[in-house]
Amino acid sequence: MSIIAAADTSIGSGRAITFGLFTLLVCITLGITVWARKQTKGAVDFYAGGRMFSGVQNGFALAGDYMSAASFLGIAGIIALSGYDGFLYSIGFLVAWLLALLLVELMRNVGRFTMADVLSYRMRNQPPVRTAAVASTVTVSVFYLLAQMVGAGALISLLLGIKPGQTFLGMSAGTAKVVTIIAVGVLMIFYVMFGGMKGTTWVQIVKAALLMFGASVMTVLVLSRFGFNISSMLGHAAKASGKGKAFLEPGLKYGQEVKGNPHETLINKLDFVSLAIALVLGTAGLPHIVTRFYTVPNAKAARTSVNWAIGLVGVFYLMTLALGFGATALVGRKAILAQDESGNTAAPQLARALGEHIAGRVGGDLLLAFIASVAFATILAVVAGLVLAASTSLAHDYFGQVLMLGRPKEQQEVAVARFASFLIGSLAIVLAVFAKNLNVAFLVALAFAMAASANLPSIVFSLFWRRFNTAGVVAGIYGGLISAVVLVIFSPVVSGKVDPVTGASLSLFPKGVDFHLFPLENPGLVSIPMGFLCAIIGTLISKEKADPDLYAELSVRSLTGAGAH
Amino acid sequence: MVGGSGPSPRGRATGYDRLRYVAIRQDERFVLLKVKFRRFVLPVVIVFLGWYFLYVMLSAFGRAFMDQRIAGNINVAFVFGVLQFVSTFVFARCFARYARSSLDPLAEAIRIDADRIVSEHVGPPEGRLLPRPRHAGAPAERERAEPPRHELSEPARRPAVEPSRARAVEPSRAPALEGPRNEPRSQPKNEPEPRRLTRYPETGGR
Repeated sequence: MSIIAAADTSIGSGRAITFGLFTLLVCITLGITVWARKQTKGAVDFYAGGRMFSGVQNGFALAGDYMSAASFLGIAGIIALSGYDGFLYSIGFLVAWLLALLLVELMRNVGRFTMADVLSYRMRNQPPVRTAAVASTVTVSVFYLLAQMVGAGALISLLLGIKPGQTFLGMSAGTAKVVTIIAVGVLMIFYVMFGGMKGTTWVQIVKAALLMFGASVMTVLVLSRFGFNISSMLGHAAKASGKGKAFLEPGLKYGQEVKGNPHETLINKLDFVSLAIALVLGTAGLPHIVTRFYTVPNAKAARTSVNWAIGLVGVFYLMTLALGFGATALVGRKAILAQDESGNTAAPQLARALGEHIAGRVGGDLLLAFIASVAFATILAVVAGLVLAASTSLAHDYFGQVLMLGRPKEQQEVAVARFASFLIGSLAIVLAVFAKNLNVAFLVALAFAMAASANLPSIVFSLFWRRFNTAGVVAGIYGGLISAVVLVIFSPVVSGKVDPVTGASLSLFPKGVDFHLFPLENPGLVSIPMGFLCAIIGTLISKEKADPDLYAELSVRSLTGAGAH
Repeated sequence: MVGGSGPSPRGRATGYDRLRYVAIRQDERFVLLKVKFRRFVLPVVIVFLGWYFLYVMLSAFGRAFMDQRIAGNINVAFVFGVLQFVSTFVFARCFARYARSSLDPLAEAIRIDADRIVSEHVGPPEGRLLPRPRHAGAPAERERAEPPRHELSEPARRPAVEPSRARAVEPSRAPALEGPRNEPRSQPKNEPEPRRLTRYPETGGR
């Protein structure tokens, strides 16, 4: 270690503990993976964990898949910096689960491993339906994955306390970031290739339990500092934020009001509405959530697992209120901003402050190291879940059903799934290394918008609309997916957004490049109705008649569970 | 092998098995189940999405309302947000309870009774009291069959069967509609998905 880093002893000792805990976590998860490898024999094991998880276990895994680093660190960070608006975000994330709850049994009863199983069930021509579903699954997963991986690079550097100008194990901060991205990527590929759904699910369960435990400890500690008086905590946070009363009200981040510019104000507000729609409609179409519906023995267990997930996710998001506001009140907005502009380190910083208050520097280092490892576990588990969903879809739907015409050899298909996870993982690593300095926070919201626009219309129509046919599915998926992607390309996220104060570019492209045509940052408001519309139009203009007997079969199976796998 | 006991072109259900589902769909208990499901789900979706969008709209456009203080530093927005959490928990709980008390028993009864329902409508399968063999259907049998309606017509014309015969079709022996809960590991499957074949008329099986 260099002289500079060694001189900073406070970071040094904390860093050693953090690094040690990270290593311990990696060892535990690798142990799980090796164990799961021995248990994984066929497709049902690899894709669906042998369908042997209980409702409660799968509930933890679902919650673990859902509570990404973006929601743990991200939402706490948004609350810490923008106050109430972080809460708006988490509410969308939670309410969305009700839709998943109503659909979960039907999807569990009809499908085998993937969303495409449900969509193609009663279609006369399966290959195009499968292909479309694979396209949307892989696109959504890769976007989501990219966001997580780029975030992981920055985050782990921060968690280990690597600052620009310093060195870590002889690497500069920039190199350390690349190395972290690659390390996370390699671990993720290893989990999925060897552990399959069994390994990944157990990693999720461990992570969800750690996360809930860590967040509860911190919540109790925060509240105890304010005599368990929420109003007092809010008051302190508002005061420390420097924004006063506005900190506790909606509008600091989303739907900002621009004085003297009603047009701009309206666009900001519509953008917020668009985000809200995407969040609430996206969850039920997220591939890594849907594949998890099939890891339980039956629909009842699937319902139980979603109920557990709702409970866990809900309680967790309520706790992020205490973490976020607590961070503002106890750490201060300025200190959080100084560490990371997007506020991602608010929760770890709060952990250090809380620990120091109880047991001095050692306490601070310990609690910080613990929360940092929880965040690390979160990142690893979520990326693994995403890679698994994408490779399952590629192997089962594209290789097995399209290329092999529905008659693949089981071992062959599983081998393809392992190889696909290697491919997708490597692709994500390469993309993430290139995108490492871009602000990709919008990608998560975009993934939700794409899932809602491309997948939800087809899921709903194939379950409930008798006339829905092949052309409808294909048109709905591609229509929704393409409109979401195109709208984002021509949105201020990609080009033309300039900070009014500093004049710096807030878009992906540098200042001066401006080809934005669509005013909203989140495409959901337009692309979701577009997805539904394309599905309807595709169905109506196609000459193909839906098969009434297959619809009967689908309704009977979906509602009664007869013949379910 | 068209419309016979071999697997249908998509390998999911033979003509007879397809009939089973059509028969069950016409059963009054299934109709009731469907009505019960929709009667609950539709209003719930409308109410919870409406309630959520009311919150979103007020957060965006009704700020004067949301900013009112209620007690100390707690304002309407905060309470409204927490209420969204509460309502989500309540809806989830209600649905779980409703499903357990009203939907599950009905679905269970239909599954168990499937064979009686089917034999009442179309008569029992001839010589097919045992489950359809998993590997039935050589590739050559996967040719595109006639449209389903044709398949339908043949067994439908079959005369209804005398009661004694119908009773013989007990759920335990009959081709249970319930699929394998846990695919047995001991039984190696070369085709993980023998019943969900893609139909490709021109492939002639490969």
